[in-house]
Amino acid sequence: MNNPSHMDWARRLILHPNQLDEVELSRALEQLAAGADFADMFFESTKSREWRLDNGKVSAGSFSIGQGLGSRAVRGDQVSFAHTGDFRPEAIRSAHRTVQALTRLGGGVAAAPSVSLVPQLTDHGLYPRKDPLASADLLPWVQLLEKVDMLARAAHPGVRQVNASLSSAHRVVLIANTDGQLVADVRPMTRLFIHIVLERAGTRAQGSAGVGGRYGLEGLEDEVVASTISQAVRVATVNLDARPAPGGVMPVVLGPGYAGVLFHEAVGHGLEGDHHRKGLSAFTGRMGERIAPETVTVLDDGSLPGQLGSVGIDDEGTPGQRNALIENGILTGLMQDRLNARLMNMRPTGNARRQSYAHLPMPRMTNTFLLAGQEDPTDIVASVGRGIYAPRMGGGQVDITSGRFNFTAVEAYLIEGGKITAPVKGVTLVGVGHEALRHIRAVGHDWALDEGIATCGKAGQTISVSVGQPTLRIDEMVVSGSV
Amino acid sequence: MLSAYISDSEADLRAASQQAVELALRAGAKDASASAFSGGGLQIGLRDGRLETAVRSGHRSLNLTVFQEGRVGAASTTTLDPEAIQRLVQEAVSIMRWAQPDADNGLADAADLAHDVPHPPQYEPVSDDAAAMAEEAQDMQRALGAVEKPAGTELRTSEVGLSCSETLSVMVTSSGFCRASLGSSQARWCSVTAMRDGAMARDYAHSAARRRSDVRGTDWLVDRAVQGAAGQLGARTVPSVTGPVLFSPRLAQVLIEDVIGALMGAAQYRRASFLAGALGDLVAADHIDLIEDPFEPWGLASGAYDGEGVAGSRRPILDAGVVKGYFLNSLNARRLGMRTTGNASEPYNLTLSSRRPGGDGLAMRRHLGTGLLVTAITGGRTDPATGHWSRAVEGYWIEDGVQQFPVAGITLSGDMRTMLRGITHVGDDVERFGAFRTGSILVDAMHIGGRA
Repeated sequence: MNNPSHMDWARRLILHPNQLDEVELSRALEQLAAGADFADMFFESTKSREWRLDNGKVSAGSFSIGQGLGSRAVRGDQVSFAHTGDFRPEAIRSAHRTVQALTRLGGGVAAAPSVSLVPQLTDHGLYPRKDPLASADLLPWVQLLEKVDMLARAAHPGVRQVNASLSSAHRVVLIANTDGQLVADVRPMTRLFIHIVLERAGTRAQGSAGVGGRYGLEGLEDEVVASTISQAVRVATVNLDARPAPGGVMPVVLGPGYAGVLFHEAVGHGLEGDHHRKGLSAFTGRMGERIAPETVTVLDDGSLPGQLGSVGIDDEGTPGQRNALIENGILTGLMQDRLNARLMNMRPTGNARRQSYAHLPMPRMTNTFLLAGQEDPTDIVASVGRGIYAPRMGGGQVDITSGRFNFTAVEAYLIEGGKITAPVKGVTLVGVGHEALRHIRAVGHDWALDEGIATCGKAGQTISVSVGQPTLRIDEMVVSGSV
Repeated sequence: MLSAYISDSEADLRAASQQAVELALRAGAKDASASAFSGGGLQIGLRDGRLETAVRSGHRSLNLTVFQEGRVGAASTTTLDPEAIQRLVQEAVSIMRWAQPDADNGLADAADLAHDVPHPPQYEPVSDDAAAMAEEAQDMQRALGAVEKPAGTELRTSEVGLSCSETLSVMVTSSGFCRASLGSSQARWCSVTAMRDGAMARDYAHSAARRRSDVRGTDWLVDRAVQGAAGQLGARTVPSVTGPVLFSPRLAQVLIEDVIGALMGAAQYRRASFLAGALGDLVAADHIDLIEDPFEPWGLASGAYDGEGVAGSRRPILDAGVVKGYFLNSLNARRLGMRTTGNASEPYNLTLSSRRPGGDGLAMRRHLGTGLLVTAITGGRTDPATGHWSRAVEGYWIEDGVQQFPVAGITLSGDMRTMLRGITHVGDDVERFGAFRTGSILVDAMHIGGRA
């Protein structure tokens, strides 16, 4: 096969080696679904490789095989689930007997559905159906990290340590459910992280940066590597000179790209369907209300090509799609998986995601971002008398019930008289989602997504996402710092 | 088969590990180390009195590390079929051949191997009776329904959960180490959403231990979660100020984590630590002790040996504020010209205490006087190199030792070195969270960021 389809990959890696086929899986689903309204099986076969640069030497590498099956039966709002690393038919039957017993705890009756699986051929074209680990030649991996070390040390005389990790994964998933759907997806991924320690006059500071996407090593072109190194070095330099930030309430200007984690935290999590069904979100019952200025449109779009948050199909087999969360300032949409969509009488939105076969799917974000506005980023900074300019973030959190969120800048500066002046030490910014949205004053035209480094944690499950935004001014935020 | 959850025998795991080591040596490795794990468990979750999730988990894995003249390669698999083991060996050896050598790489020194250090007790068979667990969850739910709520407060949703699991692990090295270890864990938790006058707040309580009898009782969990959620209703900000801060025991562990991170071998070797080269230095208030104990019976972080087969020791990490030891594996110990401390896996159980007793929670509030009691950290980070500490927090405002009102939406910042030296008291209100045991910690001055 020259260019195998998603389903070809699944047959080759998951079905054929274990003598599984549509008939066997149909019978397994019927057993799994006894007493339930719906059941699905999620097979996964993942191989990954990582190499690390540790202080000048490419001296550590590892390879891993992760495979398993997660089988779920749903009855009303009750979920029974078991997982196993063993794909042999007898192991699957045993796991499904366990699920049946768990379903009966909730009082299920043993009505057996009839299932007839029909393989579905998808060709979403969002990412290549390739295996980034296909070549056994490890030289390119070592050479790339050697180049990182050399370029980073050449970038600044104070560089004392260069550490980096380079990883690729080839993930093949196969989903079968009692609606008769049988669908596969091949998800390649490559990421490079660089960490620099700088020293000047006995003081040390660190900086890091990363890049990633749904490609193999060839996706890490020279310019991409060079710009990632210069970012890490710049952050370390800034932190070397940084002074304590002023504390209190002030205007904040966020840079384009990863700072869009603001919308992931302050908007996205509060619009996940499970939180709404349980009445836990600060946005519960506020659909259709104006919560931000006209200039604010926030999307979650799982159908962007090449992004790590994109899903050709989500982990329940629903195609990724573009969902408006806030449209011109009006709260418009939720993100749903099958379970929550059904219980809320809505449609799934392609947001069902899971960390692995050993975890249950939940409504999760994909690529979440604020759309570009009209303003010049320079004018936005110039509009601030005294405040903070924060171009790079280190991550954030939100309490969806109160709407309080926070995020931490790893590169930040003081704005004085409309000009960016001194760098300040990593500041934490806090706010309440609906208040921060109301205080958005200016939206720039320099839209960007993050470099492919964002991950999201929810209920103990970590997945890759993308976040993005243009330069943005928020009039009032609480900034950590000295008083 | 040992139990319903461990689907492989010790002999099976030993055979798989030995096979991987032998194949690796045959493929050209000079030394090899393999460890195999098999385990699983059951988790039950109830929401508003109804069964919501019932999960049966099952895991197995095999990890291999191979060495040849300073070169190292590693691989792991979650499936133990013969082809997977072949691929595991082939990939690890291939990585080893391409890796650049570092003379400090290699198995632990033979003299350091813990062939017969006794296991601290850490295994109690767990039940696989899902119906009984669901019934226990219902009991927790009933206790939650019966709890006395503060006036005018409604509990909007509640979740209770319980889980148990067991794991068998086997480790084999080409230097002759071969041991097995068995562990269990039990956890119970509950979370509630409280509502009053349209405001909502949520809190949780969680307790985990190796055996059932060490898990906190339902009443404690329920009381914690309800008081925490109801207490935060109507939280507001405070003016920005520099003042004393009392960390509740649950939060005090965050400070211990930062100290551990700074004393890890890798951070010391890279000198990317705010305590770089601090061995022998006074870094914390001179009444502070931090003790590591690998052998505490039923301790969540106890163990007879680490991931290299080396035993840890009961030892001071901080003694009267002075750094007495780092957390080292063989590689970082060799790099630093030291000896491994048996910390190739996580640090073992750690207890922070003061030689100057701070008294109970009320006494600690009196020591605080007027300032912030922190009960939740909602985000933020510590810069490991500079020790710059910055967090978003929630808690209560205290005046003259008396609790006034709940506080949220504020930031807290400081410098770890200054904060450690500025610890004035550690409370007797000791609690244990995972590997850590500490009372509340009072720090003399930090920056609180709130309203201007």
